[in-house]
Amino acid sequence: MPRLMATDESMVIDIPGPGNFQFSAIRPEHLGATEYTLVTIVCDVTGSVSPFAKDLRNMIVSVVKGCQLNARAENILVRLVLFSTAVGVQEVHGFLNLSAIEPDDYEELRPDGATPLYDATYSSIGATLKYAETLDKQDFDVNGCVYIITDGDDNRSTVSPRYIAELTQKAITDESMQSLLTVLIGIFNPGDQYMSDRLDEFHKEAKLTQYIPFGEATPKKLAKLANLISESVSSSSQALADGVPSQPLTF
Amino acid sequence: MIKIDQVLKIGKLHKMCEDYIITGHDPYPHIILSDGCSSSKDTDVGARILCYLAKQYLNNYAFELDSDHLGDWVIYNAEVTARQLGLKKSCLDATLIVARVVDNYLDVYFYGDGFVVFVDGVGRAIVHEIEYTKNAPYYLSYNIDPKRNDAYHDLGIKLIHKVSFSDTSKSGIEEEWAYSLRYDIGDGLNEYKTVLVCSDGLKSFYDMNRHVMLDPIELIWDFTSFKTTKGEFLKRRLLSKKGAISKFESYKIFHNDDLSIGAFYLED
Repeated sequence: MPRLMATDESMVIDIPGPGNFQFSAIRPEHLGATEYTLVTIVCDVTGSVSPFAKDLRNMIVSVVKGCQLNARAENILVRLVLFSTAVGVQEVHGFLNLSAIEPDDYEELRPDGATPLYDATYSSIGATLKYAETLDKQDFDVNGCVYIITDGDDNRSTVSPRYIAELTQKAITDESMQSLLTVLIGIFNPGDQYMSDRLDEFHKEAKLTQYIPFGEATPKKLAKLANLISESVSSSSQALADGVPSQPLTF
Repeated sequence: MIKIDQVLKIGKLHKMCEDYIITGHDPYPHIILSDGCSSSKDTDVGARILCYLAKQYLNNYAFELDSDHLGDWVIYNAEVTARQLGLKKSCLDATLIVARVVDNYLDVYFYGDGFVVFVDGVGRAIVHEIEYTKNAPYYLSYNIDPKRNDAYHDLGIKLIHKVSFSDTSKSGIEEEWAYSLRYDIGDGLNEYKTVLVCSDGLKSFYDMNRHVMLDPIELIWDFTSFKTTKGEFLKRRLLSKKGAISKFESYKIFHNDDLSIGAFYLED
C-alpha cells in the first residue's frame, strides 16, 4: 500500500506496534467542536465479496449519509478502510469531518485477493487510539467506534489477535478515550457454523466488544446493516455528550 | 482576526443558572453577559431578556452607541418584555456587561459587577474588576423603580475599580454607578492575545482543602492556555474532561457561583 502524504489540512501518523501501518486525519487545529466520535468503517474487499460488491458499496454510502443527517454530525469524524491482499489495508480516506465527505464519489469496490482481517482490525483500532491520544492532548473529548465487516476468516495477516487484544485493553485503561466500541460483523451464509465459530473465536481472542453474525449479504440485509451502524454511531455520539460509555449494537 | 467563544456553567451551590451570555461577530465582535440576583425571582429569565435586548441595541445602534442610552433602552424595553411575560420587574435584577471591539478599541460597558482580563502568550495577566461596596452591585432595574433606586442610593454604595497584575494590585473608588472602560488593543495592549469578559463567578472558586477563595489571577493561566483556537476553543479549555475546571474540581476547588465567561482571541 502506498505511503500516505500529509497536507495542510491532514496529518499522517504512524501506528505504533507491528505492521508498519499509517493513517491520516484532519489536523486538530482545523477542528472546531469540543468533542468527537471517531468512526471507522473497515470493509472486506476480498474476492469472495464479488457477488455483492455493489450492495456493499451502497451500504457504506448509506452509513456515511446517515451520519451526515445526524443532529450531531459536526461531532463525528469518519475514516473508511478497505482490506484484501490485493490492496493491503487501504485507507480510502482518513478521519474527516462529515461535511468534507461526498459518499456518492466513493469508487466501485474491486474485490480481489485473500483476507488480512487481523491486520485491518489492528490498524483500524490502532489508528483510532492514536488519533484519540492526539486529540485528547489538544483538549478534545473523544470516543470511538470501529465496525469491521467481513465475509470470512483471516488467512493472510502479519499480526495476531493477541496484539489486537493489547490495543482493546489499552483503550479501557487509557484516559484518552471515553470509550471504544469495536464490532465485528460477519456477512455470510447463516448455515456456515464453522465460519461463525471462527469469527466468534477471533472476537474473543482480540477482546472486541461485540460479534454479530449478520447473515447473508442480500441488498435488504445490507441496507438494514447500514441503518444499524448509523444508529450505533448516533448512540455513541450522544453517549459522548452525556459522558457515558457507548452501548453495543442491538438488532 | 478576532475569534470568540463563551462558557456558561452553573455554580455548585445553585439549583438554576442565573447567568447568561451571548457572543457574536455581527455587527462587530461582541460579548454580552448578565448575572441574575439569586435573591430575586425569575432572574434566570431576566438575565436572558437583558442580554437579547442588549444585542438588539447593538444591531440597531451599532456605531452610535452611547452607554447611558444603551442602559436606558435595554431596561425600558426589558420592563415591557417582562410585563408581557407576566413577570415582576424584580426578575430584571441582574448585572449587564456589554463588550465590543470596533476598529482597534475594546469598549466594555458595566452595569453591575464583573471582570475584564487581559492575558498574554506567557500567562501574564491584567485583571480589571468592577465591584461594589457592601456586595451590592448596581442593577439597571433600579432605574425603573424609583423607591428601590432611592433606597439603593441611600445605602451609600460605592463602585470600586480594581486593577491587578500578576504581582500587584491597586484600586480606586468611582462615583458612577455604571462604568465604561476603553482599551486600545491595537497598540498599547497588543501583546495581550486573549481578553476575557466575566461575571463575578470568576471570584467564587473555593478550595475545600485549604478553605480559601482563589484569586482570579491564580486561575487565568489554566483558563487561557488554549491548545488550539478554532471554534469552541474556550469550551475545550474549560469544559473538556481534562480541561481547567475538571482539573480544579479534581483538587476539590469548585466555583460556588454561576460562571459566564466570554473570550476574545486576537489572532495575528
